Amino acid sequence: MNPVPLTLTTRPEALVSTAEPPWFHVLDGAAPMVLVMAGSLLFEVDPSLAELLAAGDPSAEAELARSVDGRTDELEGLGPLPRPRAISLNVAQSCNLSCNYCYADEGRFGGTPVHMSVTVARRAIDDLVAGAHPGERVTVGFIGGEPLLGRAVVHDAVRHATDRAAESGVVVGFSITTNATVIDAADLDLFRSHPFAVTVSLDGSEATHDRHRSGRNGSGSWRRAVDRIRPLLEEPGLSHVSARATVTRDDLDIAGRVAALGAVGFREIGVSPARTGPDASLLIQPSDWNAYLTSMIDAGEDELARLRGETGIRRWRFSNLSSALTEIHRGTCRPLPCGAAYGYVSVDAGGSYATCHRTIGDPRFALGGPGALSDAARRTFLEERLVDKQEPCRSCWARYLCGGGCHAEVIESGRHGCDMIRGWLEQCLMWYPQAQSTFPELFSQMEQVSP
Amino acid sequence: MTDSVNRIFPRNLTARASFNVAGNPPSTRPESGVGNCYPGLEYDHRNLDRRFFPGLVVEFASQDDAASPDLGRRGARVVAVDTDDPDLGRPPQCHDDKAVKALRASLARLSGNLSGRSWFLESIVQDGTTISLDGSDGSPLDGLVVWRLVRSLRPGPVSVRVVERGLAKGQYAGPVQLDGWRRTYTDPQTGVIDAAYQPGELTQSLCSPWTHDFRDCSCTYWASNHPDIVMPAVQPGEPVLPGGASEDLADSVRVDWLRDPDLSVLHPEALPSQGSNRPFQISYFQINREWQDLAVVLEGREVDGTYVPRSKGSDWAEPFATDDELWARIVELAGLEHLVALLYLYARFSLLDADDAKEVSKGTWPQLANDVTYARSVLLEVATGEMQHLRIANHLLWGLSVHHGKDQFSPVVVPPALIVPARGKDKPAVPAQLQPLTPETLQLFVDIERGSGYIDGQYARVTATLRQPDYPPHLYQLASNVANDGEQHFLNFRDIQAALRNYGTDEHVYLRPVVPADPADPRVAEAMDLYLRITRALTTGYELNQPENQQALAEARALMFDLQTRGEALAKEGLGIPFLSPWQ
Repeated sequence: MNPVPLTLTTRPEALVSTAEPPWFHVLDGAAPMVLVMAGSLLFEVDPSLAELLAAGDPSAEAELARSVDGRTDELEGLGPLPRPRAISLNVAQSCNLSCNYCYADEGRFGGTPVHMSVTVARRAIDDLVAGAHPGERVTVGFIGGEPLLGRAVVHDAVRHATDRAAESGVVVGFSITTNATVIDAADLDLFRSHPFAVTVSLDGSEATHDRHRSGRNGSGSWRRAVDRIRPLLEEPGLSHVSARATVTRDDLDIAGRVAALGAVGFREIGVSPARTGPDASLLIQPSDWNAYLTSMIDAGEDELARLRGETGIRRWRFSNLSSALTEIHRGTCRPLPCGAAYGYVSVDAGGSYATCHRTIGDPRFALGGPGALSDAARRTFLEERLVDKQEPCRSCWARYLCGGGCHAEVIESGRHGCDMIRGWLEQCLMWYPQAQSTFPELFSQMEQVSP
Repeated sequence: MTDSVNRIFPRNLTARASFNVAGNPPSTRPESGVGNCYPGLEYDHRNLDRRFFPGLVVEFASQDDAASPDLGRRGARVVAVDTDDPDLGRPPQCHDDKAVKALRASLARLSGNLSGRSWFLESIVQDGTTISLDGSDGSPLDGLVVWRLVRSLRPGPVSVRVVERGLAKGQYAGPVQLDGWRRTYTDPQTGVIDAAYQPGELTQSLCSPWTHDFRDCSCTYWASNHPDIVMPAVQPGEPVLPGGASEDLADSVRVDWLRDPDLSVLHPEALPSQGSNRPFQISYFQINREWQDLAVVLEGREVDGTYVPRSKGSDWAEPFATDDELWARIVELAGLEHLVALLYLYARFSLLDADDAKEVSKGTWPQLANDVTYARSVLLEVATGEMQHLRIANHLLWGLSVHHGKDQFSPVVVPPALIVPARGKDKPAVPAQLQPLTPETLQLFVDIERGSGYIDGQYARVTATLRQPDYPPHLYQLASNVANDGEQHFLNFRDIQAALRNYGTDEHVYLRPVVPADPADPRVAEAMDLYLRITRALTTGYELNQPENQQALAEARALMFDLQTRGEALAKEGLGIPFLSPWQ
């Protein structure tokens, strides 16, 4: 293969090839498919055509191009930046647990523990609501550390946001990521009486969870968390409760984690790999990705088998699968991996803005001081990270489904999980036609949701 | 043109939205026409024939309407040479590479001499016959006459001779002989219009009235993109049929598209003539200022919100698991089509004709003659539609046979089904009975054609199966057309309900006292014989690839007219034809 000419930009990780990026990707199989990257268009193709496309046959490529209306090879640039529609308030940069893989370093993000004041929270909320038009939806999230250690601020912020939104005709929703161990009756009331997405950090079974998520005295936290969240699982009110498990390299049994959390009563369960944190021995290493992918695929197979066996109303449970299939179904096509710095920003305890909840306190991701969210800083940050502007992303077939990977993780530990992401997406693409025809109702629900 | 039909199948939503489907845009289909003044005026046929000879574009220039005709400007004038014509790249078998090369060279020569000059077709040769485009007096034939001659050409080899006019003798460039072929205007498999035609080309000569003209065009000869009488938009939240029409009978009145919203409250329903609607239409002033408020019309209905395509319902139906199941269901549907055609036909014979209605009404029911005429014509139309469905069901079976490489196919014409399937939860299947068009019978017909009924549901499954990439695409189109007809039939029957509602439920003033005759009654023997001969002729007609098929179908058609005449005569005597007796 000829060496690819490279152009050096200001960031060493953004080496951009001048070669034409691929515009489609052939997925081999009994019923081969082709993914056209721009627009994430998925076609089933005749095996003979798939073979020609894979071999780079120009007439086959022309035939595919003729079938696609308005194909463009690259997404358009960033365009005008919207005002953020979601913020997360880092109400307590401290935690009652001391999980040994926590990216937030027990909530301190490497600094000293700080709690957000009511004034700071209110100010950020006021700015958020002021930037929205009547009828638009905004989300206020609470993160930490353990956000419920700043309970008073959380409750005040919810009241304040509800009032301000009502005055402005804006619709407000809430989210919180919690370890659940300190949830009390007043919190349950709060979650039930507002549209709250409650994400509980639970890693799986009691043994799995307690291996790393211990209290400061070394005791396990699973039992306490489950006892505290159970009333909300049984009677969620307006809230939507899900579990999120962090997968460490010493236990890659993802299906087991999902099953254990399902048994607790969670209807939605997602997992993510431990990529950054203080204890390097627990983080997923490049050599682990193959096993991680196999484990994800097993969990996906389990989920599909569970859905097939469902006799009542079917619901997704494994959210990594449901979100991947949803996005494939809709043809989600993103120039960025997430909403960080675009529709979403995070506010630290002092009121300063960061690109997201994972980058608080890191000057490389700072977006302005209290009350001074800088659009210029957002744009600079995002422009450099558009997936079409960096290699290896620009040459990757999965670029518009992946978006380039978590900014925080890429800077911290590079892009060594790309093969896993491609493998997972390829598997989901192969699952999609069958899943869509077997469970059409799960996909038609998705179509009702506004993009 | 159709290479991707079976090779690429869009899977997810964005792929479905971006896929270039082989086929003509929906706006070219007759059922997409919204005009009622001149249905069929979806395009100007002359525009199709202007490219009858690949590589050439001609205009059929007529001087018929000219006050002092200029004979030199009559005929088929060559207006362009199109060497990019896609047909030149895929010649028919009769033309080898050498012949195409020669044709291209002749076209290039002509093209070089075309600018600012005046070239006309002089003669056309096909199958050894030369058609001279000069009249007997030597003067050129009028363009419209030339057009009719061009229309008579068959696909296949054609030579044309092109000459230059308008120069003094001695200055003429020599005639150019072009040996080519007549274009096949549409793809034989998919019906797709040839890619040589540019967007807008087929409609370019039609009126395109706008603003003042839209209200006042004196010839009213506008293209069918001008809606006249339309169904009103369905309000949000209102219960609707699968195709989008209101469930409520009261909302099925037709309205004038150009109605003034303030004035039309006086008379919401459109009146029968353009003149009588005029006082309720928007003024010149309004149309210039508010033309953008005129409603978008799709499928004959004003659209007020998000358009929901008709096919949405059938997209969600469950495909059949096996080909055998698909086959068996189409056979079953064929029997049902046959049955409902008979039920509707029988009901039609039970209605008074206009003359009898005038006699019976004696001034009591001034509209009776009009109403029965309307109901009879609609019933016949729907019954005919069901007969066409019977043919399509056979066409589907035939197509499936060919698809599976079989050369044998046994048409399914008889027997008709003898059970009317369930029409919803509280309306179970009932034995089929020939009945006069009482309000109860009419309600049964409405329920049979209702979108959520059994027949509709089964066709939805047939279309869901045939839309899978393993099947030839034209079979899906055929089945979809049947599925889409159901709603029109439903609306037709509801219209009959509306028309006959005035006569109450007890006084069947519009009915003949018809009862099914005893099959042994010699008076109905002839009609029954006609009916059975029709079924036999259709069975022959639907067979595969036999030259006598067309003959058998023509015979069946002729017999149908006889049966109609005979049925009317019997009905006047109170005798209904016992169509079902041979099968019971």
